[in-house]
Amino acid sequence: MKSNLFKNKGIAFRLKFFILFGIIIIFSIIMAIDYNSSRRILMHSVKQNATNLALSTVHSIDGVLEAAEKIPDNLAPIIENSEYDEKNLQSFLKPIVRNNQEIFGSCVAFEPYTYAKDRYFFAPYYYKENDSIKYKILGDSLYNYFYLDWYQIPKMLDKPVWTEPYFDENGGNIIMSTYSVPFYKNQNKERKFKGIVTVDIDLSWLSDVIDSLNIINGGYAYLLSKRGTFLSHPDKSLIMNESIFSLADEYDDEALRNIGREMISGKSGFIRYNPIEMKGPAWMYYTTMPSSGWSIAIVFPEKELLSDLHFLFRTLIALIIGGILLIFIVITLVSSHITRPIEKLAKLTGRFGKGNFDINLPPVKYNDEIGQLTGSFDLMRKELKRYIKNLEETTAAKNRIESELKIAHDIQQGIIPKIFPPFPEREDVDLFAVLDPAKEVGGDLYDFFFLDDKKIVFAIGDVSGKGVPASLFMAITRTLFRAKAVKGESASNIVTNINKELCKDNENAMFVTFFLGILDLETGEIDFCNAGHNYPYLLQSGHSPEILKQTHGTPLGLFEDIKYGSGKITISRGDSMVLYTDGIPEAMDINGTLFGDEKLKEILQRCNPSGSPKQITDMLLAETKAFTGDAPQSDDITILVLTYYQEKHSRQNEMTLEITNHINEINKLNELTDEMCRRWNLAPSVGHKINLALEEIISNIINYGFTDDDEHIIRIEVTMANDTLKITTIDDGKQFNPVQKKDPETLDKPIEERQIGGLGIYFVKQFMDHVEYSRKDGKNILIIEKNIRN
Amino acid sequence: MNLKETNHEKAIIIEIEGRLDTTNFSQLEHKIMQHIDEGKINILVDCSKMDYVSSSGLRIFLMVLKKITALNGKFALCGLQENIKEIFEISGFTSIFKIYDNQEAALADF
Repeated sequence: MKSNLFKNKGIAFRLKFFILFGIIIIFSIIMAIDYNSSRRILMHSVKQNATNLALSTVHSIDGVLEAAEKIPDNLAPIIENSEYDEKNLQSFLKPIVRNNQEIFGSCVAFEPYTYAKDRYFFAPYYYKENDSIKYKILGDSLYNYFYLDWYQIPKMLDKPVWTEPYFDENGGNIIMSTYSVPFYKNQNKERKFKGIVTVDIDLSWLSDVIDSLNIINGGYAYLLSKRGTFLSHPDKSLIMNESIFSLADEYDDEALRNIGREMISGKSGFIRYNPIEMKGPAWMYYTTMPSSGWSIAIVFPEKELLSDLHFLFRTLIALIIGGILLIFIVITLVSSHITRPIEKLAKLTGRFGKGNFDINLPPVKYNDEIGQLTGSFDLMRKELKRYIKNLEETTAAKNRIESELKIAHDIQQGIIPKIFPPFPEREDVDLFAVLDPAKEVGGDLYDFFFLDDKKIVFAIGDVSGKGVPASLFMAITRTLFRAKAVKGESASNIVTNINKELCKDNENAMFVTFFLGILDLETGEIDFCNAGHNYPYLLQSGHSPEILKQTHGTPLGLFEDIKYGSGKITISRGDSMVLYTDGIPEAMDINGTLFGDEKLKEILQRCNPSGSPKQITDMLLAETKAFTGDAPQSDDITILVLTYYQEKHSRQNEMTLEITNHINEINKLNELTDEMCRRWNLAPSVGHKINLALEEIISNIINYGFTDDDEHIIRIEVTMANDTLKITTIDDGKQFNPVQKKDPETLDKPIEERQIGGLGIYFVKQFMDHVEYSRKDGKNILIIEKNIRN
Repeated sequence: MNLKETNHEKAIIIEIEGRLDTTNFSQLEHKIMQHIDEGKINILVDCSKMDYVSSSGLRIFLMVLKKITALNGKFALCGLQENIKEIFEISGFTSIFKIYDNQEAALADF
């Protein structure tokens, strides 16, 4: 996801995203911390306020209650020490009711038969009614005060007690509470309970006090009695009718019930809870009054409590959002200001990739990183432009050189004899040679020709170095050989003359190892001169190969004034001479092992000296290639074999031509055909047809046979037997069977429907007597035959 | 192969001398196509000195004939040697090409 989000976005986008993301995170953390501490402070102050409010309320209520308590507290000892006299009691009670506004009534209630022996009930009581003070004696069968709380509880507890507030139906339907103080009399040294002194307090003012408390909006306070009954509550219907427990039961509110328990057990606290009647949580402070044991609770809705805080924070958030927007705008402006030059640069440099180096980069305003980058790009642009121009020139030059090398190769191959057997009319001698350059052109050479009817001169040479310089030197050497090898000259003279010419203007000090031999076909004598060349081998029937270990001087081209010597050897008919260049003994396999002279000798040992020179050459070349395997050819390889035959050696009715897959090689077919015509005295029309068939077959192979650009050899073998000429072409191109190719179907059609092309193979089939195709070892082998006498 | 050209009032005469084969047919092709492009669509090829032709050369003749026929021009050959005649017969060309004995006979028909 992340990579998708940012993949196609610019630096500006990322800058904005990360800065804003960071700012929002930081602000959020600050806000959260600030909110929490503000809230804590606020709650602390709320608690303080609530506590103060509650305590001051408690204090003011307690003030009233304590004032009221003092009256019976003081009256009880007075009664204990005075006579029980109604008038006397009246004089105490009446002023109490009259003088104390908050006191509703006051009473002295006696134990049965205590006031008088005949009075079961006696309880004089003053109370207020309609702004006047009334008097009555309480106690009769209907109002048996001995069993009422205000009488019974202090008597039992033996201490003053505030009663549970109650509705006084007797007194005037008001809520009141009674403070009862027991009084005693010492009789027979025993303190004996005699009755109760009470004051009744009207509690209606409590509601006023509580209601008048200044509590925030939605907040309220209430008062609970010791049993949890509501003494005051904003909802008046609850007062005296419900307790906190009955409400908890009604709402099934366990939390409220727990709060109630806490409150009536006299504890204080500041808690958060969820009141049923409110939406949202509220905070409550509660405490118990020491005098009466009543509890006061002050409730604040949290929403209201925090409303100011929330308002503050809403304002703050609005400000922050505004701030972030402002920052966003600023970042956008700044980042686009920074990245615009980069974007521009990126767009322009993108065109570099498409090869356009002529664009002008944006001008550099500041020497900052972007300025430096632009500078670097501009430098790179100029360098690349220069480099590419250079490369183009180099490549063009290289292509030119390659095509020139190709031509040079053809020329070089053209200047050495390539048609074998070269002298088919001669029964007494045959030669065969191969020249396989390591590069397009090489420095090896061989040549041979008849000096006169009975003398043949042959030579092999190896120019120092390889490639074009060597090939040029080779061409010169070969030309000099043709020029200097004239009838009547000895081998030593010819070589001496060639050397003299080669040394002239040979500033590069190139040299060529050279072997020249002149065979006298009548005597078998060979006059030879070896100028630093590999020793040739002599193959004789029944003998091991003999090495011709003679040297007559340094290689040619080094010292102008050398007079070369010569050697003489006489060979027998059936013997062969094998000449080669150091490409054979120095051929290396993939591990760098040399082919070596021993192996050469061993192979020659297996050769039949009176076999054909072609057999010997083929075998030696095949063994060398098998030895080197996939290792690249390190040097030019040349082999020249001469066989001196019996005079009655059967006429060689065969020819071989190897050409490469280059269209100009077609011209060699003409020479081959001419040679056939000359040798076998063929009619011109037959020669014409053979030439045509050969051209169609070979041009087809050259044009369509190869899918790569490599050089391939196409081999043409010609034999003549029983007036039938047999030509075999062998190529390693893709499989193609011309025999299966259909003849053009439109030969008899009008011009509009005639196909252009497809005639070549048709001609071959028409002009030849037999056409046969086979595919063997990845090679196309096509045999055509023609009876030359038909 | 040598190509000799004569601008006769009736036609362009191209004389082929030597061998017309796969190594040089494109020279002839270029020469003739150049004329056609220039609107010279009456062409006579004199083969009296042409002593060899292969299928590559015949391909050019056929192509040129098609092109010139389509343009309502005239393309003819003359002076075919015996060997060449045989090839033309085998190819079925004698029926679609106008072939004359010599230049005079050919030009009379242009």
